[in-house]
Amino acid sequence: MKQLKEDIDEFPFPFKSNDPYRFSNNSIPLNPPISIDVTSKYIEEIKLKRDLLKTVHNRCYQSTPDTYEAQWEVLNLVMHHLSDMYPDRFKLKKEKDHWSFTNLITNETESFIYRDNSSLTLEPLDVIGRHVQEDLLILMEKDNELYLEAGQLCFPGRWSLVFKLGMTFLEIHQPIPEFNDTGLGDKIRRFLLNLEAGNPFERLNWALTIGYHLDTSIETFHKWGHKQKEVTPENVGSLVHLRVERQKLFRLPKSNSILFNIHTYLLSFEDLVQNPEWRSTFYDIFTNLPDYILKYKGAYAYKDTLIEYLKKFQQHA
Amino acid sequence: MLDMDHATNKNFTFVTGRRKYLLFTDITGYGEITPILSSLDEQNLLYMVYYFNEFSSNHDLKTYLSQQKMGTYIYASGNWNSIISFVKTAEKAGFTEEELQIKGIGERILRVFCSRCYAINVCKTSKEMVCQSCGQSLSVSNHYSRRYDAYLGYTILN
Ligand code: HEM
Repeated sequence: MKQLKEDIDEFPFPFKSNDPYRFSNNSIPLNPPISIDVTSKYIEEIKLKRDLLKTVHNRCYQSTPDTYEAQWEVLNLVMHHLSDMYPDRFKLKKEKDHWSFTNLITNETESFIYRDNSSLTLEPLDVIGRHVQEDLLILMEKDNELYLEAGQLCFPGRWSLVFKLGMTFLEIHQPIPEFNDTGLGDKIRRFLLNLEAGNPFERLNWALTIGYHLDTSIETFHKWGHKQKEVTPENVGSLVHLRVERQKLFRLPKSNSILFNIHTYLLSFEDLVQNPEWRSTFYDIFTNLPDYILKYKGAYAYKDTLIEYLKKFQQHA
Repeated sequence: MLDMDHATNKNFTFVTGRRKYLLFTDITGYGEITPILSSLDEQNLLYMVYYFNEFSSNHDLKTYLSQQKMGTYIYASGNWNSIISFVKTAEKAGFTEEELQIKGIGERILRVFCSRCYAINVCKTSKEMVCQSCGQSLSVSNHYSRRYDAYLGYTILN
């Protein structure tokens, strides 16, 4: 899919310098401290999200009973951020506990009594998630440990919310090479335990993926996985995409939980190479990646084809 | 959970220089620890031998293991069910892969979670299998969920 100029302008290119890339805690303070970004893809992605929630709700939404307090906090935070940051598109009216949230893009109003579960037809997280492009996950803190206890996840980068529900931070990251066994996992876990309300963080994570597909769930891998083998020197530029997740972390003070949200962006290499700085930075980083990272990022199979493609542009530069 | 494949040695190797050794076994696994017992005796090292069933619960076992000081090394051999439950408890008590060796006897029964249809399969092999519910070929990983007491089976493309 050819992208519009605004999509490219919005794309959060994740590499800052030519430093070799390795797994690390690359979190930085979030400024401005806003949980949501509304982009030019809003309508398209909200529609896709709602379709998935309709057809495969169980795959995309999971929660445990103890998460209601945290879910209401997420709804509260996100509704305020949307109406404060995008007042022409979202309105929040409150009369005591009677709230009314209007989405002027979709022309919908959610009216409910704050913290009264029976006033909503869906769970609070499932309601608010339908108004944002982000996937929203809640980690509960218990005895100095963080557990993934609720989530609305429509655009996973090859993982399953159903399988990971209930896991600790370290258990979630178990499949990542050189993560838990190097002590990196524990370092990040302690960083998260120290996260404070009012001081949110963000980080960018990246992988390579085939086609403009946000939904790369492992549940449907049998449908899309084979496309990796279809990469050729002719189609590599349009087929292979850089997938970037802007991830944000907020401490929710009442429930002492953490909101982890993920906004996923995709850019084909055909579009990426138009920016000479991005192209040469990516080239330097990509050609210096160890195999274990290439494999984990899904790029091992067509690594050489992509390098050859990038080289062509390097020479013309 | 500790990576079972990693922690499994074909045969035990003797590790010297630890403060104390704990050996856990049952009737089926006893033969595996005898070479280690001889080495420990030869070198006059401090050790204790326990049968798994001497601990009335995993809680008692965990309490006992938690009280051990740094430098304690564990060998455990026995049927796979005992070994799996033992390793989980040892991990909760703070032991890591570097501090223990295990040897399971007989067939190891695994629960495998199908990433395509969520069925939990019970199987004996540990590398690849076919989901009994949806027919998908799965590669059995060591990504473990306590919630399902199962390992994740990733789709293998054919
Ligand atoms: C500072 C915070 C965090 C850091 C530095 C971090 C780091 C990472 C890294 C390096 C990867 C490998 C991804 C890749 O290269 O494609 C990863 C994967 C992942 N992370 Fe995190 N992470 C953080 C927080 C979280 C949180 C709070 C969750 C909660 C759900 C989470 C869930 C995941 C999942 C589900 C994966 C995919 C694992 C898989 O392949 O099965 N991360 N993370």
